[in-house]
Amino acid sequence: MERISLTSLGQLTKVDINFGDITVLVGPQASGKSIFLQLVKLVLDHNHIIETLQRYGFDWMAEPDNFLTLYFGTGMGGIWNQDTQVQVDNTQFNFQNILSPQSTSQTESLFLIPAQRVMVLRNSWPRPFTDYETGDPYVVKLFSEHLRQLMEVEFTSSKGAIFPQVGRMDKNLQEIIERSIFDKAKVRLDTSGMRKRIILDIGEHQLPFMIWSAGQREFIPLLLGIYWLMPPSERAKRENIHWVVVEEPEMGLHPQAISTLLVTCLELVHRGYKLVISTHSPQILEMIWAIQTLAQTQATPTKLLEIFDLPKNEFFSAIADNILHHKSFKTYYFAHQEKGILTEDISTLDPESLNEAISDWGGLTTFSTKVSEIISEAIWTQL
Amino acid sequence: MNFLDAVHNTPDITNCLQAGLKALGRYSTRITTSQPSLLEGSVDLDNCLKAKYQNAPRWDYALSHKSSVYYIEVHPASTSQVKVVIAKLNWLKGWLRHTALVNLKGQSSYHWISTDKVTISKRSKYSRILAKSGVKYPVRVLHLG
Repeated sequence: MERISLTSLGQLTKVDINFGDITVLVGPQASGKSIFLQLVKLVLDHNHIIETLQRYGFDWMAEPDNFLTLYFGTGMGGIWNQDTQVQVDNTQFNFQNILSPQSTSQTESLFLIPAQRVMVLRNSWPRPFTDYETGDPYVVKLFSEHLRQLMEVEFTSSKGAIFPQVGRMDKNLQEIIERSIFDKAKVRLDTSGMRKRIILDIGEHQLPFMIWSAGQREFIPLLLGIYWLMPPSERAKRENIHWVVVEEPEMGLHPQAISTLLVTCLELVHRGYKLVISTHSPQILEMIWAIQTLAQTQATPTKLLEIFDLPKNEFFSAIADNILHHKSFKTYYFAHQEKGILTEDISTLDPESLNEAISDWGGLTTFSTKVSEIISEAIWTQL
Repeated sequence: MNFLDAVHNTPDITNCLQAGLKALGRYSTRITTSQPSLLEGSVDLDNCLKAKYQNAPRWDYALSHKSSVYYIEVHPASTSQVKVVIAKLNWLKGWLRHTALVNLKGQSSYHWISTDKVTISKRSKYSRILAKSGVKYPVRVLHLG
């Protein structure tokens, strides 16, 4: 899949997205980014979704609106109307057809880390799929279930260690995560209270999930998701998974931690995943703009390492070289306009563009630009 | 070739080389260094080139420290002046192409010293326009590394 275009889906009037190796979506609240990302999953993984819902005992009674409620969540039953059209590359996507699946592939190819990720842990443990309300979004339930299985099936041989975890993530990456997010604390599985729970081990004290910092609580489901994408042994990626979607990766994180997370995202792309991010953080677009500008000016990969204060070793140099020389980037703005929500390709991110959607990155830096203009005028007219 | 040789071999400015930071006059206090003995000289480009390029958007100064050449523009740092400074930079680069200083390109950097308060947010598009042009973000005082 290289392109999805659609008309009339929920509040989305017209969307046209050409994917890069990293695709970034920006736009104000309620501009339909999340609906679009869930649609991408539906398009790619509909057989797996239907099989999963049926396996867990859900039944939409052949009613498309019921299925949409089960998938997108309560209140979304009417999202697909008679004018809705979805085109995937050159093929029309027929929603009615997917509800009577043929015996085709039921593998999952897109892993979505939802914005509601902090909700997937209850009592310091990932909730199972069936723990959620019927009308909770499918992508939240599935992410939660993936984490539960990771903890209960895949982490059984790790002797209680969750972070750092041997054999999944490179030591170089673990070191920068440790430095910027956990401050040398360890995350581990605790079974002392006759119930499994995730705790933060800071030597003398073991802190339960609820009293971690907000950023650490946000980061743990994200980290577990990243671990899920980095299988142990020599395999670079999950065999069937080609796409990774991360909604608002910056939530609750200090800019230093966001930088670390961005490096981790680049490592996922280096491993061969295509990454789609929705964000409200200018820092993420700063990274994309920097990579594009460095590539255009034929700068060496070490410049990219300098941006993140990374050591110039073999591990990070290989990532920087691959990202700079072999990967493509696209950025789209989900804009409220008179006709509804339309997308605009702002991939150049050119600060000199006369189109403010491009120069101010879909509104993410509009405030800073306005502050500069007004303060400049106020100060310099006095001098 | 070093900075002094390059200046001597550039007829437009041969006679304008001054010791240390002297060419910067009252703005010399806006430059700091922990190694002043390694200052190799400075040139007041604006004054020196005024007669020959009367109406051009001339750049202000050039100096050399530890074999690195610093091109310095002293200018109000407000959003409306970003374009003005970039126009000066473009003129400077065009002029440099016809001088012996072009051979020192690898060691050169472009700096904006603000005459007063800097009123450009580091996250605004103006900051990115500057970065893209190659001019460093404006400072009140420039420290030579």
